[in-house]
Amino acid sequence: MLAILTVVISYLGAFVVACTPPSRWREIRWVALITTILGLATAVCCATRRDAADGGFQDVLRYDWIPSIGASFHFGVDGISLPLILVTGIVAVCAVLTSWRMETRANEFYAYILALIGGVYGTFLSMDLFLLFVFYEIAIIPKYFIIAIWGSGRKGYAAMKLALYSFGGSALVLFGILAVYFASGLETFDMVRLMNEGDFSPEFQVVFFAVTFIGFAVLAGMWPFHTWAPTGHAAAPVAASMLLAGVVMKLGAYGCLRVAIGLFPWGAYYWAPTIAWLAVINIVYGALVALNQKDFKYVIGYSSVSHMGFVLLGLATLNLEGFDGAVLQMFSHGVLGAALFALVGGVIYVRTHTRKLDHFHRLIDRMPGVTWVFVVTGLASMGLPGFSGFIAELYALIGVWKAEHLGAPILLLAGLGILLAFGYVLVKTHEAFFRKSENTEENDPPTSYEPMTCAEKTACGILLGCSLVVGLYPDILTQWIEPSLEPILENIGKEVLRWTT
Amino acid sequence: MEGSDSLSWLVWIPLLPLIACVFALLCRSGVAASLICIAGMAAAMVPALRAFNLSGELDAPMTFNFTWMTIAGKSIDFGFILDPLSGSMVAMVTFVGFLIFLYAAKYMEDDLRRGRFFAYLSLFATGMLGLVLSNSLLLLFMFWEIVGVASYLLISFWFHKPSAAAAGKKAFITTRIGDLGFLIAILWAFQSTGALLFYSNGEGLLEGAALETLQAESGFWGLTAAGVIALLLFVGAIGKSGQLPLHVWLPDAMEGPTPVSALIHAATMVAAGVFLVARTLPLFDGSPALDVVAWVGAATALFAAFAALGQYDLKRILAFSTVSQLGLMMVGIAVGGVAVGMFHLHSHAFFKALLFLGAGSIIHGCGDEQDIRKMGGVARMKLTTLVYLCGAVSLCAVPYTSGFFSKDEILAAAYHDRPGIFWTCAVVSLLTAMYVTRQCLYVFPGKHRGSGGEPHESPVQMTAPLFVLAAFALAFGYFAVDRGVFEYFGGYHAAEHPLIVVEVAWAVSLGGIALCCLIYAGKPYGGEIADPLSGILGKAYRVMENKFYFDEIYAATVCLLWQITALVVAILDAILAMFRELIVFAAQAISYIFHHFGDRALIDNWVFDGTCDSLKESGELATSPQGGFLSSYLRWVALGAVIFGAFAIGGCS
Repeated sequence: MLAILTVVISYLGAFVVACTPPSRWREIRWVALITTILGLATAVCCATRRDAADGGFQDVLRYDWIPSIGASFHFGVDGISLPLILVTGIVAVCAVLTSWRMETRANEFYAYILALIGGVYGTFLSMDLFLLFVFYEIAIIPKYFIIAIWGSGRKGYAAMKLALYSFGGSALVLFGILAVYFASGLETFDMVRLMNEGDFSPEFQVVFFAVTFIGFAVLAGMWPFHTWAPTGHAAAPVAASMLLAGVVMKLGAYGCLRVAIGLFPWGAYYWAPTIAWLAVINIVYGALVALNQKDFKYVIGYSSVSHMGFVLLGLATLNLEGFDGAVLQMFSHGVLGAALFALVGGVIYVRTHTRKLDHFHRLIDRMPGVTWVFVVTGLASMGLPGFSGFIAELYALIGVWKAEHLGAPILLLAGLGILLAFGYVLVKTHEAFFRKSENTEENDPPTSYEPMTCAEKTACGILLGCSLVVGLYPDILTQWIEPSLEPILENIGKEVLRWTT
Repeated sequence: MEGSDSLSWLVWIPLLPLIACVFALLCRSGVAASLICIAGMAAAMVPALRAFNLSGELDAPMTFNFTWMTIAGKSIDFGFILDPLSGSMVAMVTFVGFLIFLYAAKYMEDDLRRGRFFAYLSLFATGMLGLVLSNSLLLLFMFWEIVGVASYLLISFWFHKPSAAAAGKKAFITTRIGDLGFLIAILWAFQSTGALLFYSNGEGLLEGAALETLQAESGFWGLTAAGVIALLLFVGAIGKSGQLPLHVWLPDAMEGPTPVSALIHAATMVAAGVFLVARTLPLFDGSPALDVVAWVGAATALFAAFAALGQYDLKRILAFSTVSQLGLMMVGIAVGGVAVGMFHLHSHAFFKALLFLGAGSIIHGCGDEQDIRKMGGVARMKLTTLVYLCGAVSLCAVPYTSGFFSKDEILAAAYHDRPGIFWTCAVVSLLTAMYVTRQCLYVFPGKHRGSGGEPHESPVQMTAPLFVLAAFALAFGYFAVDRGVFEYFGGYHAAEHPLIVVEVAWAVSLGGIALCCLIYAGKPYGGEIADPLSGILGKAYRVMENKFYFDEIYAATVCLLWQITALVVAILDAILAMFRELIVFAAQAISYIFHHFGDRALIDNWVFDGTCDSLKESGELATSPQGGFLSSYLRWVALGAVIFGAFAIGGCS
């Protein structure tokens, strides 16, 4: 019962905000902040109430919706969705804090943001495939408007591209969902039942795993369907970039795990090596392209593509360690990706009004505080021990090592990716903060910028703090994640045994 | 194997500097920050010395383990360990570190960002102390990274100098290449044995069943898994300890603001790699990996000693000297075991700390001049000169100084098994004595050649720590041997020193000094300024040369040797630089290609935009008949009617 409050609160907040005139933007932002804080508080309550030993769904709520086709309002939290609703809550609060000075059409802006957040919560909490799809679609629509209206640069192009890619992906997903519905013959969209009782032939699984996995992976930024991500991230206003990188990309990865792997274990086994190769391409390719960017936000956008590669890599291992790593990386990149975007697209951009790396001239002299926060965040995101990124990558790599269907080249390429991450983070940090710029701005740049505001400090502090806590004490999340992964893994083991013999 | 909770106080050793670091960051006043950090270090010294005392009485390592996290049902434990290795290291690091902190408080007096500097120093101390106390490969790696970050921050502390910012970046990335090997070693060890603790009641990685599993499992190239893991760890050590071919970052790290940070990188942090090999030595045992360590160490030592001969920057000479000495430590561990390597590590830490701090004092006194050609006459700084010479004789391994005892041990150990290594080390020792002498001849005697004022003595806050270090540099070796350093480490001890070893050890150190003096004696040297002595003694010189010819022969051979050396070093560096540039260039080119042709041209323009365009075109095509012109509609209606009519007529008939 409790969990669904996150969705309800978000839409209530969106409604209230939408009905307020834009001239009262000061009140609106407070409403938005309180809404997101309540959402986070609800998520935290779910976490504290949770019985960690039981990996099943808790806080379940079920009402019939369309009985004739077997669709129902069916919500619940398990150990996989719990970290994700937590990260959604955290990023949502910080996104509102980072765009604290948003005045233009503030009512619409926050209404879209809250609607997006509600959709994301809904997707993570749905236990019904049909419902999941509905929320998944709901989450896409506000993104289009947010980018198209409040974006920068080629915003129309970016918004359209993002929407087309997302809808293209969801078309595949819908196709997969319908196929599951008809092939199972159970006349239900209940994911738990479909997973346990849906008896799909291996050929069916091979085909429809590919369909649904690609459908969801588009949103997770899988190569070669990733180009919407940097373009969209770069064009979006800061709050939207944070949410896009922090949680929306996780929707795709979550769907890959929950729906594609959960329902088609044999298909997952069949395609795992391919996915692993695509994942390391993501990691290495993303890092290399990040190295070549001139726009700071594009660097972070491509680093997201690279980091999401670790999620996909973890998924491709099909073992507990790898899945653990994937879910941890979803959390980790959720907070760190959001922190990077908050700094680059928010804190730095509102001060310098440029994102061009060659226009930055020794920012360290002029915003020392911001520089050091960025250096720490950058170090955390490139997998420094002590922060969550390291743990997530370590788990994923242990998973790869253990997975018999993946070879040493995958491991080495992933290791190379880690090295390249060091390269681009240090090189780009150097270019942005320490380098003497050849082409200084036309009008005299100020000698020092305004220090970080309280809201900005709080946002960065929360995001980095979460990363540090998970990095130092990963059991805080894995105690929930592992029991919930067991059923999926058991299913994989069973199916693989069944169809290989 | 005693596992006991009574060891939990060990945690305070790394924790106290960390607390100091946090407070120093919060502190607005630089003076307060430096005092907090010095106090933190002094406080850490208390448990560290207790650990040192206790470690001497142990028969077996004592550990204190706790579960950090569980992964797929397996628990990953962290822990701290007390054995001679860690006990001696924490004592040395806190003691030397404390002296450095004291010195730095004065040296950095004028820097506005002093508070931050001390915070970084404390962070560095935390990483280093945690590293040596770690009882888990993973925990060690985590502290290892903290050390890396702290060194990045310290090297690029004066980021206004582009070279400093670049050097910090270079250090971090180069050591990271080694870290990749380390990480893979961790994964492999965990996968094969499920153990990451070093010692844990017989279940640790370095004892009992786990070690046997690794030694039985086969890896690559006919090595056992233990051997491969050992080599991968050694790759990590190569990066951190500046061994060939990853040494390139170390001389550049001299861009650090002070000899203090230079010292940290030279005497402490780089020792981390040697320490890692010492810690995991059971994995290396009985495998060809040990030969690799020995030869890489020897090659590095030789290369760096040659390179040191060709340098003119005071700190750079010391940096190359450090690389060379680290190579010797690696040799020591490989040929003589933990005791021999660690003994040299400790004695080197004292005299090299002394030399770096002394160099700082000299640079300070000469008005921030680092070029030895522009020095000379520094002997006026009497106290500094005195202590610097103490360090220099120890580095030269003049008999009965610390350096002599520890280096002699390496030579003796090598002599037994590996004559090739032995002679390499002997040459290295000869060259060491020569470059130290050369440096001293440039710096101390004669008149001051610098543009600034005469050298002036540094304040007592800077010289006092030097005297303490000087005492250790001279006497540590004797006392260590006297008190049974080899029994303390419980390692191998070359029982007999054949006469030839002792003779060689004497000959190379004294011979090197003499040789160098002989070459330099009476010769003009130093900068553009002509040495007045050459004018007075010019003719006498020529007579002496004609009389003996020895000078000429020496000069010619050594000069030739130097030229060849310089050339070889230059070529080596050029090749390495070329490789580096090539890799960077390739990465940039690939990245460019991916960006422009992969993402922009192919996926975006051709696939995505192309599809969109053709969709748009087809839309336009579909809309073109619906132009809104009545006449065109009528035309279509008429056409339709005609076709319809034609069909109707056709159907009827």
